[in-house]
Amino acid sequence: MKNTRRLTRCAALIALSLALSWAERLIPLEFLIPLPGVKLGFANIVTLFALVFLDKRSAFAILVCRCLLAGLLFGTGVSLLFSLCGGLAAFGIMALLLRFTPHRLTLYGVSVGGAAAHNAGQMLAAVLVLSPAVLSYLPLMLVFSVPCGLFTAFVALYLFPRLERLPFFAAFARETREKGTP
Amino acid sequence: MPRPKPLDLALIALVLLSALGLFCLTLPGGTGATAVILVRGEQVAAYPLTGPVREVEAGPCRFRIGEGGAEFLSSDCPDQVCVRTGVLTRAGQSAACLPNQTVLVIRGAGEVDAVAG
Repeated sequence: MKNTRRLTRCAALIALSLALSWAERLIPLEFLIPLPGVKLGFANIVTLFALVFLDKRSAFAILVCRCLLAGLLFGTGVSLLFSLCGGLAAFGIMALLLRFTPHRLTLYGVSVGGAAAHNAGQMLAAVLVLSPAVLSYLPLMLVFSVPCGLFTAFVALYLFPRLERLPFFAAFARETREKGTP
Repeated sequence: MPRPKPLDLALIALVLLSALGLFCLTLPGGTGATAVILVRGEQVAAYPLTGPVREVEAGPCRFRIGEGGAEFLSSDCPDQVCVRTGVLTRAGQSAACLPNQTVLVIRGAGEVDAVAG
């Protein structure tokens, strides 16, 4: 694949995940769940997409760049650290779980695993930076990672097959058809 | 739309069971005795929960401590999650202000290293 094409694709996906990351902050989830850092995880849809349709290196770059940009634009230094730790954990788990698709696992499991790993990663960073006392939030965060993960999986499963109608994404789909989508 | 496979459900069950297990391990236990304030992981102050209500400060965070409870009174953070957590009374409960890296945690009797005030 030509480098320019790869660069543009990654840039577009970074922008998309950044926009999703910003958009989900408009929903004040904290009124329902008074946990710092609780969020729906929309940007994970892009991470999933990248892991499915692109190579791991591009997917990793997209994740790291999005975390950095989101931290610089809307967050503090601490939130950047939490975001990175969560994002990297989610990336690792999802990359691992995707090996079991499409026969033993669907994107539902991958996404829930990713959401749970994201929360675990964030919690690890929080324990190191703040205090082990914040561990009491983890059970509730893990419980909510199930519906959040299922939601992003649902969106991804609905969206990915239909993306082929867009010229930009049609190229992705063509190149992945040999591999087989989950 | 693929149907969920057994491994999907197993994974979800694993996450939920871990949540349950962790919950049992971190159950708040016993009446609280001391309110401890940590900034960036380091203990900066500790106050007994008993006694009249008094206001204390740790950086931009203000706390109200006394009469068996402790809470974030105010903070300069945009989310105000810390303030909205409300009053803490039992050992093991905590409230955190992430932007200020400040944590308020309740310790039970016999757990503290030092008490001031």
